[in-house]
This record gives sequence, C-alpha cells and structure tokens, in this order.
Amino acid sequence: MLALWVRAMGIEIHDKLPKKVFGVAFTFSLIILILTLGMYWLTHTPNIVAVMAAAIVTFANPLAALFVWSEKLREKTAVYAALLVLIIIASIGVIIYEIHTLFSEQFMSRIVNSGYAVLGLLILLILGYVANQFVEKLTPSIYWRAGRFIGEDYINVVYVSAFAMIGPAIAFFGVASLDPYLGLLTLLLALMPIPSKIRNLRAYLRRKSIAEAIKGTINNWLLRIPPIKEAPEIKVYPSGPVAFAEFSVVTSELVREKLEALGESIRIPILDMIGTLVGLHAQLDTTEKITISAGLPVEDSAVVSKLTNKYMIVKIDLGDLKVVGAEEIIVEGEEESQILEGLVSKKIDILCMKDFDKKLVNYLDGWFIVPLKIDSTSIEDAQKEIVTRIEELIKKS
Amino acid sequence: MSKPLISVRNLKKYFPVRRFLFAKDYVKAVDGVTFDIYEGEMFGVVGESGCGKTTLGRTILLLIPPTEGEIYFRGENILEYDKERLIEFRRKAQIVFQDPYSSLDPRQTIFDIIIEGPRYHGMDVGDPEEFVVSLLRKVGLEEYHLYRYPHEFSGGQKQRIAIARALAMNPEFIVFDEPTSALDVSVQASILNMIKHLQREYNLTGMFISHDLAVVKFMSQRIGVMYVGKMVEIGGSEELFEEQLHPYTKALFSAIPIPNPRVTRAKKKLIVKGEPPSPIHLPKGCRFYPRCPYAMPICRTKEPDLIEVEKDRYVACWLYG
Amino acid sequence: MSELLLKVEDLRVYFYTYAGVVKAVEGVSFDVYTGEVFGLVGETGCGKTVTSRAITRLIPDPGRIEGGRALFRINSEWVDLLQLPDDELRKIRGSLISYIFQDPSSALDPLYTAGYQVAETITAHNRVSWHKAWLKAIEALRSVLIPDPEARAKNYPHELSGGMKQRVVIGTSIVNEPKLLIADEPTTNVDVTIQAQIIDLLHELKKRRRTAIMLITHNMGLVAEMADRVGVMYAGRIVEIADVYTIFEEPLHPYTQGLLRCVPDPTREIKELYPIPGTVPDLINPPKGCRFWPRCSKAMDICKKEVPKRVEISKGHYVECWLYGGGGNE
Repeated sequence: MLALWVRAMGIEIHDKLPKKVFGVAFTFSLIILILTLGMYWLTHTPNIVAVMAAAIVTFANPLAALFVWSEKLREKTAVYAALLVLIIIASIGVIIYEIHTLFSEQFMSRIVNSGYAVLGLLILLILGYVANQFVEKLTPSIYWRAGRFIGEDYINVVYVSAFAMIGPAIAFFGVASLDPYLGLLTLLLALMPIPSKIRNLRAYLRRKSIAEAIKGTINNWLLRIPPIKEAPEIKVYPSGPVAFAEFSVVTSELVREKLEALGESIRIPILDMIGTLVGLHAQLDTTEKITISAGLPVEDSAVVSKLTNKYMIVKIDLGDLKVVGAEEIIVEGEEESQILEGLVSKKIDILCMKDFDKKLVNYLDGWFIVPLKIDSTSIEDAQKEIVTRIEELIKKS
Repeated sequence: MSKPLISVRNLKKYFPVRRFLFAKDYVKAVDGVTFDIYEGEMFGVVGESGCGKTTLGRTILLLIPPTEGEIYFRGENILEYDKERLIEFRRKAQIVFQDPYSSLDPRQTIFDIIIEGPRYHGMDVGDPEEFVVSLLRKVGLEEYHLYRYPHEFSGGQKQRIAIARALAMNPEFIVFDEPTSALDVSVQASILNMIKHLQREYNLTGMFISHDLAVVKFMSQRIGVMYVGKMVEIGGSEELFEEQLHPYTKALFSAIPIPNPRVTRAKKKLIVKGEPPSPIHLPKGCRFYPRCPYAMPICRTKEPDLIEVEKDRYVACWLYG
Repeated sequence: MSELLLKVEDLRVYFYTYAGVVKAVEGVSFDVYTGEVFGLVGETGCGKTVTSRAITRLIPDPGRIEGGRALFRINSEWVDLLQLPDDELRKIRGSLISYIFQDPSSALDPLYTAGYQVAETITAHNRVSWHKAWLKAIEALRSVLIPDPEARAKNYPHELSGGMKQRVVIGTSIVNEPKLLIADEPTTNVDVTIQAQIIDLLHELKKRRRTAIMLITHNMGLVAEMADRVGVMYAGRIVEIADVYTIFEEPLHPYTQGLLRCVPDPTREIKELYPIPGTVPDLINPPKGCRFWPRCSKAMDICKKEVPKRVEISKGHYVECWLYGGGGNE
C-alpha cells in the first residue's frame, strides 16, 4: 500500500504490506486452531494433535511481521519474543503431552469416530493450502519474500494433515494396530517447523546486527544517488527475520521538480533489495541551505563540451548563490560508461556543457543530475554563468 | 516497405514449476515480446542461452500454447482461429529444428517423411514420387535417396531433408531454429547458401534463430536481440552491426570474435560482469541492470518499454527515453 | 624469449574398429613454444582432438598410437612422452601438462564440491596437507575470476552456472602451474559473453605465467582472437602451419583457403558463402596420395598418387601441397 503526500517542500513515502494480509493470516490460523481443538474433542486421535501443534506454529511468522509493521507495536518487540517462546513451548508441549498419553494408555488405538477425523483432516489440509495461497496472492509483488515468510507455516499444516489422514483411514479399514505408530510418526512430523522458529528466535536475539546490516544496505543505496549528500536518520525496526525501515533524506532545491521520481528510485530498489522489509517510511525534503557541486569538463584550462577525464568542480552555496570553492579532479576511464560512472560517484549535482546529446541527458536525468547548457569557454566566465543559471532554475520552481 | 506477415504483440510464455500441491512458480521464458516480421524478409533472433528465443519460435507457430498476448498472421489473430483455419495456418507456417538427429522419424523413409505432411493436408501434389524427387533436388540431394532411412545420412544431409519437408507444405513462413549449429563450418556454409536461395525462389518469410551473430547477420535483413525473455533491441542487420544502442547489444557484439585477427585484436571488448538473473524471480526494473555499465536508479525501478528511437530501430532502455 | 616446449614428430594413431582400421592421425608433426597459443584447427573428424590426447597417451581402446614421438622439455631435458613409463607420465599429466575439455559439466564430478576437486588435483601431484591444498584451491578459483571464491569452493557443480563451471575446470587445470595447457573447444558450449571472459582469462594466463596453450577448435573467430600460430588439419594430416596473420591473410593450402571462405565475417557485407564441395573422406579407406584431392579444385595427377611432403615456404610457414613442390626445398 503506497501513499505519497507532497508537502510544501518535500514528500513523504508510506509503503507497507496491506493490512488484509494480516487479517487473512490470523483469521485462518484461528479457524484452523479452533477446528483442531473441536476435532480433538470429537475424535481424540493423536494425529489431530499433531495438526494442532502445526496450527499453533502458524501464528509465529505473522506475529513477527505484525510487530514491526504496526507503529504501535514496533517498540514492543520483546512482547513478540515472549509470544514466540510461548508458541514454541505450546507446540512442543502439546506434542509431548500426546506422546505421553499414547504410551500411558498401553499404545492402543484410541480413535473414536474415525470418519469425522478423515473428513476434518481433509478440511484442515484445504484450509492450510488456501491460507498459504491467499496470503501470497494478497501480497504485492514487491513484498513477495515477506509474503512467503508469513504464509510458510501453513504448508506444514498441509503436510501434517495429509500424513495424519493415513492413520484414521487405515483404522477405518480395520488395521487398527498400525494406528498408534502412525500417530507417533505424525506427532514427530509436526515437530518439523520448530527448528526454523528457534532460528527466528535467535534472529530476534541478533536483531541489532541484522538492523545494522539493513541500515548499511539502505545507506549505500541512498548515498549512490548524487543529490543525496547524507542520510542521517535511518531507523530499522527488526524482529529478527523481518523488519521495518524509516529514514529521512535531504536534497538540494535543484531536484524539486523530480522529487516524486526520486522517491520511486528510493522506494522500489530498497524494498526489492531487502526482502525482509515489510514496509518503509521515508521523508524526502529539499533545502537551499546546502552546498552543491557543478562539474565543468576542462581541457588545458578551458571549458570544453565533451566528456573528458578532467573536470573543474565548482562548489556553490545554494542559499547565498555564491561560489564557495573550486577544485580540479580527474575521472578515470577510457570508455564513456566508465567516465559517466566516475562522475556519478563524485556526486556532482550539475554537469555543464555547450550542448548535450539526448543519451547524455537521459543518463544525467536518470541520476538526478541537472544538465546545464552554458556558453562560456573560460572557467571564470563559466562560474558566473552557472550561478546565474542556477538562480533562474530555482526561481522558476 | 511491405506489410507485416507476422505481428507479435506482448507475447508471453510462462512455464509452471511446481512448488507444492497446486502452488506454482513460473519460469518467464518469454515475458512480453512485441515485433513484426515483414513479408519476404528473414528476421533474425539472437541472444544467449536462456533468453527465450527458441521458446519464442515455437510459441509463434503455436507448437507451444502462449500464456498471454497476440499473434497476427496477415492481420488476423491466429489465437482466435477455429479448427479449420488453425490447420491451414499449421501448413503455411513450418519449422526446421536444430537437431537433425532427432527431428526425423528413424522408421520412415525419406519419401514418407516428406510426403506425410502434404498427404495429411490433402494437398494436390501430382505424382507423389516426382514431387518428392523435385524437392530433394532443390535441397541438393538425389533421386536415389528417396527410399533410404535417416540414419544413412550425415548431419548436413538430414538438415536438407528437414528443409525439404518444410518446403513440401508450400509454406509462407518458416522458423529456422539454430539449423546449422550442430554442423561443421563448410557444411553450414552450403546449407546457409541453400536457405538463402530457396527463400528467394519461394518468396518465403522467415525467422532465423541463432546464437551465432555472424551467421544471423549473413542470413537476416533485420535482427532482434533478446535478453532473459524480452526484446531489447531491433534493427536492420547492417545498421545493428555498425552501431548498437542497447548496452547489452553493445557488449554482445563486442564479444564476438571476428575471423580476422587484425580486426578482432584491435576491437575493444566490453567485458560484461556477472550472470543473467533467474527467470523465475526477476528483480524489479530492467533485467540487465546488475550488469549494465550505464545503470541508473530508474533502471532499478521500472522496466523500459521497447520504443522506436529512429526509423525502424527499437530499443528498450532508459538511456533512450 | 620463446623456447621450444613440445615437438611432435610424425604422430600416427589408428583405431581398430569392427568396420576396419580408422587412420585417424597419419603422420602429424608440429612444434609448440613456451608462452604461445598454438591453434590446431579443422572440422569434425580431422583428428585434432585425437592428436591432442595422443600427446599424453590418453587414447582409449580400440585406438593405438602406432608411431611418432612427442618430445617434451622438462627444464633442460627432453623426454619422449610416448615412451615414458606409465607412472612417470601420470606425474606429468595434470601438473606439467593439463587439459581443459569441451563440456564443463562432464569434467566435474557432481558428488564433490568445486573446491574439493581443485584441492584434490593439488594433492594428487604435490605433497601438501589438505588444508594447504584447500587454501591454494581458493586462490586458484580467485585467479580464474570467480567472485567470492571461499563460498563458491563449497558449492557443488549443479549449483554453479555454465560459465562458473568452466572457470572451475580451468582452475583445476592451472592450479599446478602447467607448462602446457591443452584446451579442447573450451568455449563451444558457452555463451558469447562468458566466452569473452574465458578468452580474457586465458590471455592473462599466457601473459602472467608464460603457459603455452594448445587451442583445439573449429571456431575460426576464436583462433583469430587467441592464436599466435595455427596448424590446419584435414583428414588426419596437418596441411598448413603459419602464424595467425599469415593463415588468415595469405593461406596457401586450398583447404585452408576453402575453410576461410566458408566462415561469415560480420564486419564485411557478404552475399554468399563458398562451401567446399564434397565431403570429408572415409578414414578407413582414405584417398590415395593427398587426402584432400577429391575436393580440391586445383588437384593434379600427382596429388592422386603421392602424399605431398612438407615444404617451408617462408620462415615458419609450412604447407603440405604439390602446388608448392613438396619434393624438397623450393
């Protein structure tokens, strides 16, 4: 879900998983759990208990995502950790209790109403499959990894139910002695999701370093974009396997017209690169209180109109519209693409030339660098001209 | 300029990969391809393995059902054809496969193989033996080959038989799927010459699929370059070899070793780093992004459309708008 | 300074099959110098692969090396590889002389990780601990430009792409610093962009380690790109040897000329290709005299009767063709 508010001097980006994903997940988990409880009361088979354990586990991942997705819960991830521990204990506990009951009752067949059992297990299987698919289909494609994460434990409900059907079915056909063994196996099968939940718990304990890694990725991406000089506030809220990110970015007034495109260039790559994000909130502001750099291609101390390896970088205070510094730099590379890459890495805001071919304009636009047409050939004249042009540019917007 | 014989619009072919139960992932072999093939021309399709060119060839002929998109033959959408018109289309559009060893039924004689199609379609060929013999002569074989079996022929000869089989149907359009890749250089040369002559003689329209750029240039008037399921550039053969617009095309063409040591050693090779992405989970934006020397943020955000930047030159790249 | 590294003299390899004796290699002689790329070209069945394998006696039944010498220089001594005892030959194969074959997926064992296979090559020829071998293996993978080699070393072949696999194979071949690397169609099953990377890699090897490379291929573009000297083979014999520029610009043997006319050059506008008429001969009953005469537009009477001898036309340029004499110096 994407919301874009354009404010007086900036934009705000809110993008996160749609609420209904959680609605669907928790609803199905609840229904499946209640169904298993009801069926256990009706049939008393250990196989149902196995599905019950798997059903309990299905709450874990949606909770992990919910606790970073929701603004209120973001600061309370410790509660999630506690709930996760409870889920793990409950799931294992239920299994152990049932195994104990199985053995203490001399390992005899205990199925009552096996017809209901098979029918019920079939319904549970279908519910598990539908829950998984529903969650995945409701997830926007950019969040596909998070969607898979939230819905992954329903697959266990499917497998355990399928396996669990063998027991009652065979007992139904009269081979009662096999049933307790199958029950035992099914219960053990239901333990399968536990290791991954324990991994999630360990990821929760490592959440600070996970958050740092995500911050690093976001920071690297943001700083690759020339108009973004620094990204001071990146907050990452992790719960272990998933996280939510929040940050604000300041750029120069020069890119004011392109703020929406810049927003997209931030939002989509970050969400696509970091599969564990369930959402992000970014603030993008422009300011005049910033020093920008204009690049002038030079050759033998004169301004030229082609891509060279030498550039005069003119630093200009955007607020005062004054030149505050100039330095000559070398950009390495023989190929056009190498020089362009080099210029981008120097983070210039403007490139000045007499004329630009279309491909160069598109490239500069793509990196949010302003192509500026200037006529001067000497460096002093060029500097003055640049300041004048920038003034016009800013006044216009 | 003649009219398009074949028009493909946003053609997609996805192959399902089973995950569990009925849940599937999709291999996006052809992911939205649009282009025209004009009457009488040979349209070349190049790209590396996994780019989808073979799947494209087979989907256009409906050998594989498309997942989405339209295919027009002489202005009519063949996906809306009824059974009769479909059979008619299948006669008019033929294919010659890469592997001469498996595309001919080993239990049939050459005569049977070639006459089978016309018989099935109830074509009037006059005296069947004379008909097949004249076709064999056209492809450089002899009358005494008529009742031999495929295993008695070399790879090059088998391809000639495959071509004769396609011609027997009196087709208007032939897809050549890497027809000479498995053959030696001089055999390849003679078959390529033959295809060119036959194309002119029968006024055929064709699609020539190959990974060998030099061969494609020799055979085609226009070429389409594919990368991981999409057309990234289309243009005339000479023009495309003179100047490539899309960064992938540039890298691809610069990497071809030219059989001329002075030229090829002087040529600057643009080494492309990395590997193509998985066709199941494609990242957002342009699929060439991770390997592109001109990559920009927008390339990571939105996929560029194939647009006409000059007369008859199409590129899908944000460098060109 | 280039020195002679390998001298093959009058090599003869026959295959004794049910259909008859296939005279696959019939008197092949050539030299390979240190630090050069020697290209052995020809079409299917010309005997180039058999020749390359015969050098280290890798000829399976029913093939037999029936004659000739393969002199290989180790330091300052010359040994005849065809006469060496088996265990000594095995020491050389895989260390001083190593191979890269065409299909990387069959060269790698699917049950072992990439790193294991490279390390195994090291321990097979050197007395080092496994740990040291593993480290060397990672370095070898790094030197063939495999990114993140520590991780890739733990991958199994099926987890690697075609280009990666070929690089692992090259890594296995160079890790023991061979003096001679025999590459048999190293880029045939590989994409153009990956081919460019591999060509680059082989160039690096040649430059940095002075490895001599024997390049077996039918791809004339690859030859133009990589080879310093070229030997052209036809039906079991070498018909011409020259440096790469001469072969492409002034080919003398009618087969070489024909071969070059078949190959499309995309930098020129070509209206037609000129295939060589006829087909490759049956090597069980090859033509008498010059094996190419049935397809040669310039065939003379003597060509049908006697095998032409090798003539040196100019320094380093050899032809076996009656058009240029062949009875002695010309």
